Amino acid sequence: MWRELAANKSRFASLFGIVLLGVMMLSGLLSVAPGMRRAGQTWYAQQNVFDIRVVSTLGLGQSDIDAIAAVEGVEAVMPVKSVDCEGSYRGGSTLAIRVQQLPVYPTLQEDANMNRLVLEEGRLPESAGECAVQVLDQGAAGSIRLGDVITFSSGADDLSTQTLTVVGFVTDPLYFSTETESTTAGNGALGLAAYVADGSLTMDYYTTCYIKAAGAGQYDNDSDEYQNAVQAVMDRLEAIADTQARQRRQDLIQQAQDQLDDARAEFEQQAADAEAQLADAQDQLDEAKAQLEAGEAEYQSGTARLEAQKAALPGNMASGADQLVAAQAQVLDFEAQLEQIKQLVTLKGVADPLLGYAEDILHNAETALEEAEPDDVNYVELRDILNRAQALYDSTYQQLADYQAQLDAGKQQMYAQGLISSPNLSNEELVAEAEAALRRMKLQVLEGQLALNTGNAEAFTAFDAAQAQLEAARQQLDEGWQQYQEGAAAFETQKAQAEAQLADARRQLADAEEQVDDIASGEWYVLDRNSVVSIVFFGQNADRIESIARVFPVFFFLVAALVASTTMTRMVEENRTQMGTFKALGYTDREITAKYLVYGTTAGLLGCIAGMLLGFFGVPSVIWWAYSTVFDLPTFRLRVYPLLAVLSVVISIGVVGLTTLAACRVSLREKPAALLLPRAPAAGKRIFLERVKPLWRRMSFSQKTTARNMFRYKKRFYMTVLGVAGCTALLLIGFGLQDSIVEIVSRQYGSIQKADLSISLSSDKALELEGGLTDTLAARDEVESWGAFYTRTVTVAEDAAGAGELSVTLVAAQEPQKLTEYFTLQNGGSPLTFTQGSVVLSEKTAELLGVEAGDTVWVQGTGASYLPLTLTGVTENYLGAYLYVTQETLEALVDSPAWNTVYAVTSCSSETQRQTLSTVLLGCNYVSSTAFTADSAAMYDSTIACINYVVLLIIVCAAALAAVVLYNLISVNIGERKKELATIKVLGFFDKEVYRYIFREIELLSVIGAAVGLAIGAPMHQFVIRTVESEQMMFIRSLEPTSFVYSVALTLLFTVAVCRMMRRQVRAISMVESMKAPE
Amino acid sequence: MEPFVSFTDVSKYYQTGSVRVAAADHMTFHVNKGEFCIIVGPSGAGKTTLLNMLGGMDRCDEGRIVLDGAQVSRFDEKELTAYRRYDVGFVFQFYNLVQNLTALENVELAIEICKNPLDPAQTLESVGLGQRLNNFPAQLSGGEQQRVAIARALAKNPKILLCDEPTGALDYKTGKSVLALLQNTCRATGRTVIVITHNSALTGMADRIVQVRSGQIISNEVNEHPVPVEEIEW
Repeated sequence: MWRELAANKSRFASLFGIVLLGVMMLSGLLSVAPGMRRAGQTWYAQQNVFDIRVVSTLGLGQSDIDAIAAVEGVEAVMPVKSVDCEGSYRGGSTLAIRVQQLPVYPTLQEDANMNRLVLEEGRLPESAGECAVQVLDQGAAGSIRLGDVITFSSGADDLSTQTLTVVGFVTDPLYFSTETESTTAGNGALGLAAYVADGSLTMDYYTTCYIKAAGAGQYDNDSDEYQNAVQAVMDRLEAIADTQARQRRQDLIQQAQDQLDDARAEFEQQAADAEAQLADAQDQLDEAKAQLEAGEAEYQSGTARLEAQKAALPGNMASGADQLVAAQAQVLDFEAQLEQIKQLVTLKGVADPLLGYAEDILHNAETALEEAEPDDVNYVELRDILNRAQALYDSTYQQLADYQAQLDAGKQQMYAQGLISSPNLSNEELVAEAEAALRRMKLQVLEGQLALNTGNAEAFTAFDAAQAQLEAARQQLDEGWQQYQEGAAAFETQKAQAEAQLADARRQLADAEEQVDDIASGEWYVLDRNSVVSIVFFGQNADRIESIARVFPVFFFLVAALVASTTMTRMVEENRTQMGTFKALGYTDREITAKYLVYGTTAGLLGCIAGMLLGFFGVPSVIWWAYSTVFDLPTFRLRVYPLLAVLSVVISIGVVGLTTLAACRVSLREKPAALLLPRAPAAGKRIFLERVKPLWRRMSFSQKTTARNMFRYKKRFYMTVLGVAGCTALLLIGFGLQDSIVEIVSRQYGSIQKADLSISLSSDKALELEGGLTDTLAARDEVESWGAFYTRTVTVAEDAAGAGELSVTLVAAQEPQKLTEYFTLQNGGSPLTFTQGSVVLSEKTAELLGVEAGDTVWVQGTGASYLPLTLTGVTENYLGAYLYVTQETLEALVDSPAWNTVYAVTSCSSETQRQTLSTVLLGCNYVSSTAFTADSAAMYDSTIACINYVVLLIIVCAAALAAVVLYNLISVNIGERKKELATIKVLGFFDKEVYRYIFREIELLSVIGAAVGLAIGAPMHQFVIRTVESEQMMFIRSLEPTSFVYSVALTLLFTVAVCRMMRRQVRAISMVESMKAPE
Repeated sequence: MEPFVSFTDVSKYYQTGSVRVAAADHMTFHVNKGEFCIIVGPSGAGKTTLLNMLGGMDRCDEGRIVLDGAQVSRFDEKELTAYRRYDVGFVFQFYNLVQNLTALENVELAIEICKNPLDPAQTLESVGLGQRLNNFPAQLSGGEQQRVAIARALAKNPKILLCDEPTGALDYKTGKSVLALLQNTCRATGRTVIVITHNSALTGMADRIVQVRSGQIISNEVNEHPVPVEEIEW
């Protein structure tokens, strides 16, 4: 019996190998996903990860926490404060840091202490200013060490200290993947999580409330029971959500309103104060102005006076001088008068005697005349004399009277002038008095002259003084004016400032008021563990592995089982003579069957055990090793899954055992004698090919042999072809998985989505603000183009009732041409047109809905009902699901849509450039997040790298299976034909010719097998791929030509290699075999 | 004249554990060209060993084997193959026809590798199978199959025809006709034919009888008066 085993060592080995590979694949791949899930579950349980968390856009007040705790099914609550801020350490670049406050006793083993940190190094923070950190982004924060001081640059207002010293390293059970945690701080990706002691965060509300759902802990994270238990509590929390949110809003509004009222009162007060102050200032200014104006007037009058005085002064002097001159002239006149008077007096004095004399003459003349006769010559003479004397007298008399009159007139005048004491003065007295008066007058004139001179000098001195005074007054006035102007200007400035401040304050108040009004939109989010990036990401990866494992190992196992069973069948058939002998010797059928059964099941069992060892330990180790670059979960354990183990053993032993049993029964049904006889050789048959005479005639003789041989032993043919085909198909699936998965990222982000940056806006005001996003985008050189879009998750369905509803991202562009610029819409390589009324759905979604272009889909936008849209096209898409519509359609679907996303094409090629741009963009108002496709591509890449390991493992195993199967098939083939080969050798065929004779056939079988393998592998690949795909992810369905080439090439390579190995065996065939009786 | 086939002190040993058994123990004999030679002996006497060595399927450990002047015992593997190919025609006890080739094709299979083969159809006709050229072995009787085998050996136009118990699997009558065919072939073509059998009754038809026992040649006689096989009874 055991000799049998030894004799059939190679067969035993290949049987062992085939079962080993099959079981390894089955148990290995099937155990990875459960292993991952269990690791997750252990981790969640061990670190007491929350079941539900509630976050509110308004934060959570103590009353909210109390309300949550009071909800039925809430076992424990842990309110947590956290804040995302920016900071740096050791003078490095700024990174986004999430600061979270730990409970008072962070290590307490009780339900309410959730998400317990794992202390990796150092200690937990004990006082303010200390923190324990977890590095979330190795690139940004990998260099942080114990003792480093984190300095916050923004967002840390609620932190009691602006610096934190790193005292420990921890692992938050919620952050165990390399997946980036997003934030609105900094560049949008958390670099570091910092945990601070209780009391370090000063805000008066909680950010998150973590909740343990009653009874959920006893179930596995991925089980429906768990989900149901959690969902029940979530539903109850949802039920109070609105009320609480409303209450919280009321509280906040009240609080804000109070603050606002205070502020308003203060504002009013300040405004009044300011106004009063301004009024005072105005008054002062006005007063100053009045004073100045009075001064000005005074000055003006002073100047006028001075001018008048000045003007008057030369007048005085002139009149003084004139008076003087006049006095002088008077004096001179008087002197002249006096001289006249004196002459007159003199004249009179002279004339008086003359008069008397004249009178005497006259008298004499008259007497003489009277004495003289008129005829006397003398007479006439006498008369003439007399006449003349008379005249003389008369004239003298007249003259004298004139003189006297003149003197009297002078006397009168002088008296009138007060120059003489009396008008009746005698001429002599008159002269005397006049002379005295003249003297007096002259004296007066002299005095006047003197006075005039003295008066002039004094006046000018006075003028100068007055002038100086005036100038001083002017200067003062000017200064006064200047001060006044300055004062006025200052006043205006202050006034403007005050007004601006007031306006500002008023605006702030208005804003605050608006904010108070805005508080209206507060909302609660009741989330389960699926809101944690790491948990979701981990779950997705487990799912993906599971979906790959769901189909492939089964195929693999089936191929292995097929080969194993044929191996056993052939062995039994080959051994018919021996069985006959045993039977003839009296062994029972049961005993004989048992022998083969033991042989087969021993090989199978050993293979099974080895396969399970490798499968349960080797395969998960390799895959987990690949995943360890992405996940940091210490709870992953290699373990044996009893059900899987039993299943593997039962199936593999079952398959081998049953086929052995069946083969034995067929053989043993015959009589021992018949068994002892060689089985009638299968009759040679004409094959179809011979009918094709031209071809058949042209074939060489050995080609004919090969052709006939192949078709003669149908069973061998099918077995070989199927075995090889199976391996080729497995290889093709393996390579195909690689084709389908590896390329999707570059396809999606390379050729389908052209924009490499998406910016989420919290409001379309971002686009309108002066100096806001629009200007920033325009100013940044690295932004090549951008466009505003509307994106929203909507539901599409097959009918108005919402059958088969799926989530898709609705996309519409502000500028229609941007849509086709940023999203390549194509189907089967030909571009789709996108015009008025176009509605384009992504391929996977269309496929799931079973719709094509021209069909109607029902879309639920913001409204309650589904609206029908006629698809104009279905576009190639791999990651995510999209529905592209025009603006008109968008407006029909969504109630007043506002552009909420900006897609941009940038020239950023490095992480640093991207971070810089992100930081700048996040600094713009109303920008809530930025995402570079390079980052999401990197995320997918890391996942895909892991899947790639799985695929590589699959390829390697498929290759190993192919090698074993081919070895087995070829050795069986050769074993069966030993006699024929020996005969051929005896006939004098050279070794090479013998090889050709046998291997050509095998190689041809391999080629046929490989071809069949491709034919069945392609649809199997499709099947596997479609099974692996999720709603949001489509793989590349088409296989690369290289995959066909590789699978066939590998198969043929193995064939050739095994054939070469087998040459020795062929060479070793003894020609003596030919002498033996046919078996 | 040197004999066509000669064995000189040819020995062959088989090692079974620590025991060395001489399957051929200093065999010396010769056969002349054109002779119909029967090598006779009981089972295990070393007949097959002798045939294997003569047929180039096995090598001797000692001694010298010469065929038509060529020292077969010195051939290497490749030369042995060529020797089997061109110089030796084999007829097996169990015919060893390739099952999925027709009679004609089985002959063609052998001559495909020969230098100057005979026409396969004619050869088959000459062995009396002119009507069964396109039949598969399974469609032929044992005798007919053996005839095909003989035709296959003959068509190669070998220097020597080696037959290993050619009648072993045949009934008396068929066996007789096969032997007749071999004898006639020998006579008609002058080809040297060596037949191995345990049936000493056949010796009468041979030109030369070589008796083997326990690995040794115990006699090598010329039968001056061979009788046609039809006259032999056993």
